Amino acid sequence: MKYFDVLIIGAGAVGNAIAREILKQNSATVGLLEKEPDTAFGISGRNSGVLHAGFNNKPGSLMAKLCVLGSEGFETEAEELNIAFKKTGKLIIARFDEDLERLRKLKEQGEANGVRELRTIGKEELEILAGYESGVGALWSGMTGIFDPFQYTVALAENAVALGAEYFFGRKAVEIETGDRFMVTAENLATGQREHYQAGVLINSAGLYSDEVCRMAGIHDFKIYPCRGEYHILDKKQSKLLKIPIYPIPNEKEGGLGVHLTPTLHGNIMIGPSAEYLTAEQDREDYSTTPDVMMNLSEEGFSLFPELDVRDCIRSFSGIRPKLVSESQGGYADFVIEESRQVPGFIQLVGIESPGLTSSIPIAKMVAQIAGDIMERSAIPGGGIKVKRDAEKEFVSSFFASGDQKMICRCEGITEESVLEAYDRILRIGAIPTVKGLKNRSRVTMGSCQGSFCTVDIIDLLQKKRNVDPLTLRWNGFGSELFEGRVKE
Amino acid sequence: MRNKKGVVIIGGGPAGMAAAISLKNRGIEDIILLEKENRLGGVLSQCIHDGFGLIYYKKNYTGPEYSDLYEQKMKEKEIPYLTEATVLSIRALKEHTLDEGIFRSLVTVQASEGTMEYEADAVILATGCRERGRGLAGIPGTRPAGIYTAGTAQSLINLQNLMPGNRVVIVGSGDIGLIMARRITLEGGTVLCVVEKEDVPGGLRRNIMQCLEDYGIPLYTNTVVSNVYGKERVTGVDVSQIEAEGRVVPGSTRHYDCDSLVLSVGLIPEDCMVEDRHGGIFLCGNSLYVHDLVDDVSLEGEMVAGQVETYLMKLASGQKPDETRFSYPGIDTMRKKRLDILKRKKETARKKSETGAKTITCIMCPNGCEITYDLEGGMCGKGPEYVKNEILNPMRTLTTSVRVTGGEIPLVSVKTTESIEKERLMDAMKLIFDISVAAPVAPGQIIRKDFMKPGVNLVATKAVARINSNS
Repeated sequence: MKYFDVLIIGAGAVGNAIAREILKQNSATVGLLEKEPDTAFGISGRNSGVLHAGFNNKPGSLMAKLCVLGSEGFETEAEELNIAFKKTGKLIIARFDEDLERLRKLKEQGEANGVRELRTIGKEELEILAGYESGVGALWSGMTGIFDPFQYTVALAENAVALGAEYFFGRKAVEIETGDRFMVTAENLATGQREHYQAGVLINSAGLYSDEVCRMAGIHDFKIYPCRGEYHILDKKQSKLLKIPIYPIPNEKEGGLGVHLTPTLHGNIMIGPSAEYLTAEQDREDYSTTPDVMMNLSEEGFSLFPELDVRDCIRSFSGIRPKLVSESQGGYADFVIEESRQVPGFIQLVGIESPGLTSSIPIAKMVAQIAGDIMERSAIPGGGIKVKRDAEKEFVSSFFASGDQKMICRCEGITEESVLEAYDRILRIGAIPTVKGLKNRSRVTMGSCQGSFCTVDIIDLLQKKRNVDPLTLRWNGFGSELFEGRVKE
Repeated sequence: MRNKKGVVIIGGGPAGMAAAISLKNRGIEDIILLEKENRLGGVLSQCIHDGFGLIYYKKNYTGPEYSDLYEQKMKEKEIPYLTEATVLSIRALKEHTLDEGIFRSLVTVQASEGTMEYEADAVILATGCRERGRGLAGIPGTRPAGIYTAGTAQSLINLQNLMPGNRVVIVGSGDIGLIMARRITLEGGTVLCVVEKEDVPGGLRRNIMQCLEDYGIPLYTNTVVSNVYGKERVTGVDVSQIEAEGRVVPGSTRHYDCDSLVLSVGLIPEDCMVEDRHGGIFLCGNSLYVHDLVDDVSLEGEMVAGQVETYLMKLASGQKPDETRFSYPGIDTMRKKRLDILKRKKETARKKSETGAKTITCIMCPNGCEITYDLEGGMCGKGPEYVKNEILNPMRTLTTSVRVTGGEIPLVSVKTTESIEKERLMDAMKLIFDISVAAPVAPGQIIRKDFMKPGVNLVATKAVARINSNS
């Protein structure tokens, strides 16, 4: 049985950031349990990739406070994590004169939250800034930016590992015993066996399943309402048309920011997300895309920016928000980030939906503080001793391929070397290699051809250079093997 | 490293090789062909079926054999080419502007020895096409493993010895999809159906005949996959009929349990590596528009070489070449030819409906004529003979692959030297399943003598080198 001073359930952006923050401040031992084979397979990898400025959230809320902190600190963090970030700004468009009043209110709310660089602009400036002709005015948010959520989440995990965190992928928590020490039983999804982990402090960062993990610890206070958002990704050919994220004015009842257009760092444009509450009968991770919504996204994308060719969609995907409010309640509940009163030593993070990605590092700092206090209070071995680790600066990854190697993906210009590096980096954090993991790290199969050219080459490369048996290779989760066998044995 | 070249040809498939050979024949020596793979041939190497060259060479080659014809000529004529060379960009060299709209091009290449640049008077883009995928086809549902484009499935089955699925629904009736329906069936998989959203099938009539009808695989037109099931791996699909504007016909949805989907939903010319569409760039083959037949691609490669020759001559004599912007040499001829065939087919169809005559689709050439039982309606002359046989004793050439030991790839493509009884194709596959040959294998090498019947041999259609044979 393994013991950790701090055990985190859920290795998404927030879980990874918490591990990193705790290890920056303490000499504690930190472990993470993640049911997926790799990091960034859930909410963290299924979103718009936007760094929010913080004007959409109610003044005084944790969401507003942590989002603004996340926005202000991101450039420094991105540099430390060696990932790309582009401060593009963002436009919220007023289509009609009556929208201008709502824009003004949004701006006031932002200013109350301490958001900088907010400005209302007129029709002319809107045209100059974004070549946008269908609005009467807009709110300009200069602090908003875009980044790659895969790069970010992976970098956090790598940094956490460099600082000493230990990851256990493919481990699904199924039982929690509380007491002086926590005992977590996890099912190893690769082997089917049950494993036990002991912890001084237990952190629930389980995203979509955070209410269930609470229930395992005997806390029945929360219910997650999964709310799906579908997206289309447009081919890079369209990239010249849109450099700045363009949003409609959010509908307060909807519980999302409305279907918007977001350029990605790599030159694609995303349309979405929708907001569809899943029913109780549906799988919480039903990442389906559905005919009506797919049609609707194209229509809304077109009406928001008629110059776009919305038919040029290379891929559709979806993500699911872990909302704490039901469809009839509408809107947003605040983040829950606290030590449980009922179960001391258990830190619960529930309802970490948008702007959770932007807020992830401030959330982690807050949690590290709470965890530090618990460790000091309970005299947990690693608690309270602040040792500056050299490893903090050890992690330098090259997300950007250097030249002079053999090209494997012509759509995205990715070399064989980068794919092999991605493979090695998967192993380095203790994750299980999948095509999705390679894709998230190297962008291979993310281009116009969506892998129709390179899939075979990738499999061949891994077989030759890393001795990977293609029959064991998975697309993403357990059970998603790529092949049904050999043609001829 | 920057080199000057008269003509840079991008792509070593049938179009690029035909253009290079024709340029050389015209006395244009200062050329280089760039190919991103480690071998010439392009997509032909995975097209192990036959039917190539029927019109242009009046012979029935498999893809690898057709490719080999051109590769041999490339070598005989000592035409310089680079493999494992990926073109990164083609830019206009503005400082070399000769006249308005006429530029020399700068081609940047990632080759095994590093980045190189070519300054070229003319560039021929013969970069082929890519497949439309699930995104462009707009197929709703879960997003599991087990969804492949037909070309990927073809490469997996024919070159990598990997089976993408055992119970398959094929989306789209493009030729590769039809060919893959037959390949999967021959290799022991089950193809449940082919669905086509248009009201007419996309592929050639002869392929519908010899790839679907031969094996009893149903083809449903005006039909789409309306949902995909399975969280990790495909477990099933819904298939629905659609009416005008793509609406699903109520009550028409059927469910199929399957483990994979193969998409054959169209091809897109791959011409996007040119940053500014400037003069002096010529296209041929599938990068120009998607061709049904490689025969037309070869012809077009030769035609573009003629155009480039004229262009270079004018350039040398200081004249302004005409038609320099993205020239489309063959397109009119090809269209006319296709229209002629269509007209003939419609005539036969009209006759057929007037007389109520039963017909058989002739598969002897890509025309896919409908021959009536009184042996009328054929265009190439092979029809009557074929129809007689088809009624009395239908025969098919078998193309498949055989396991190779110690080879650089695990399979070698093979064919029967003559056609064998259609009814015995699956028996033949059972025999082939147990055959294994040791590398190296040469094209034409007899794998089994008197295979299935006396005088018919099973022969290799491509070379497979021994692994590490270069040492």
